[in-house]
Amino acid sequence: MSSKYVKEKITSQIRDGKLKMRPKWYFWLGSALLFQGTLAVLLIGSYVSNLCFYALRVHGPFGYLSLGRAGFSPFVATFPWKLLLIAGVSLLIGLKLLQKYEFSYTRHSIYILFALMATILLSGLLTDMAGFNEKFRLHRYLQPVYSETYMGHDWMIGEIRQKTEDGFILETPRGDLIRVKVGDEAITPFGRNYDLDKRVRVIGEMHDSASRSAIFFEAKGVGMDKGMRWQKSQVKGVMHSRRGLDLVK
Amino acid sequence: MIMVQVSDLSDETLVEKIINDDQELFGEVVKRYQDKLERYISRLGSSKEQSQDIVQDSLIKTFKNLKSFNPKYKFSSWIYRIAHNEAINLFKKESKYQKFSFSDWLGEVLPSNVNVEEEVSDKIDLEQLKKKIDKLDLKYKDVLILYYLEEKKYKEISRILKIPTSTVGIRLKRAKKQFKEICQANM
Repeated sequence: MSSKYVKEKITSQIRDGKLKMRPKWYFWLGSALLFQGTLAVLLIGSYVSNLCFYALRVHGPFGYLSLGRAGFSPFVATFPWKLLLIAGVSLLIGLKLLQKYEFSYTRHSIYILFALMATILLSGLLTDMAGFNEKFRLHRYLQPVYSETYMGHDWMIGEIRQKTEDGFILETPRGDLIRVKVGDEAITPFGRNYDLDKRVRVIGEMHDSASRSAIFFEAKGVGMDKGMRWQKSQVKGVMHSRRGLDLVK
Repeated sequence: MIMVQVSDLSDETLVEKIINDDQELFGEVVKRYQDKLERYISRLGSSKEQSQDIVQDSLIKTFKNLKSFNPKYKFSSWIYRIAHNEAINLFKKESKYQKFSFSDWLGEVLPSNVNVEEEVSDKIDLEQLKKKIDKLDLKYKDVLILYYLEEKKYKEISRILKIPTSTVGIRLKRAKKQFKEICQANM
């Protein structure tokens, strides 16, 4: 194919209107969509990373690991795996979108990735530290996002409300009151001094019964270390319904 | 009034004229770049026919997207990048990265009645040289071709390949090192 042939072919296509330039607005629209997409991904990433910090703050999942082998399952159950996965995916999408910007080729992808990661993590951490989650969770449309449980079949967290002969009565952040029996063989790395209002995490087994008053949680381990920081004063309504009160009556 | 020949215009001014005055002036862009791009694409690793198709598609793409060209950058880098991306996309589709042989290309681009040995025997064995270049990793071959054969500057290579200028330097250095190793291994 000679240069002349290609030149003729292309110019005749232009002349006949078969080959047209894309209008300027097409590129403006593309840029606007790219910008909005990048912003949306950044916001989603930041919000999800904020949820990760929130979940780690409230549950302190690493604390279960101090309670021996039995603490592994609660650790797996309370660690925010899905959120981390979503944050990771949004990070990668964000990177791909940023690479479409003209400035991106002058920087190494690894630097862009680190900058993006730092932005998402920092904004997530600051959002959580500012206490936005405690406000968000009261919002009608955001409640499903915060519908986390405070107890599983073999774990729970909460505050000690009352001491009993064989343990204590625990109130979960949601307001459920549960009788906890702590046997002699239970692992208690932080001692057995159960002060009122102290926040604890308990692993063990729920003993169900036909009679609601006979329901109790048999503790295999009680931890009182870091994590489990929720803001009590702002947890209203659903959170303080004390709907589990009848369990200990 | 001084009449300026179209062929005297800079690329960037020509593009401006195409957008604002006469779209058919794009023929001048074809004239300026068709052969250069074909040569570059062939060196990257495609047959003659394939290079021609790639370049034709690239030129059409260039025209369609002409209004997105930013005149503060060099037009030649932009058009090379479009052609480069077209070629890479096609190579990926056909997994041609590994299969391509520079010597095959040489056989295709040179007329059959030309004796390669005679043509190049005056100073270097061109075929041998190209075989050695063939052995380079594509990412090094890119840079080497653009720098030495297309005579592009670091900044232009950076824009064409969309890599930082510092990476161009590093790749060029490694390309030379790898090329030297290949040469030594063949001695």
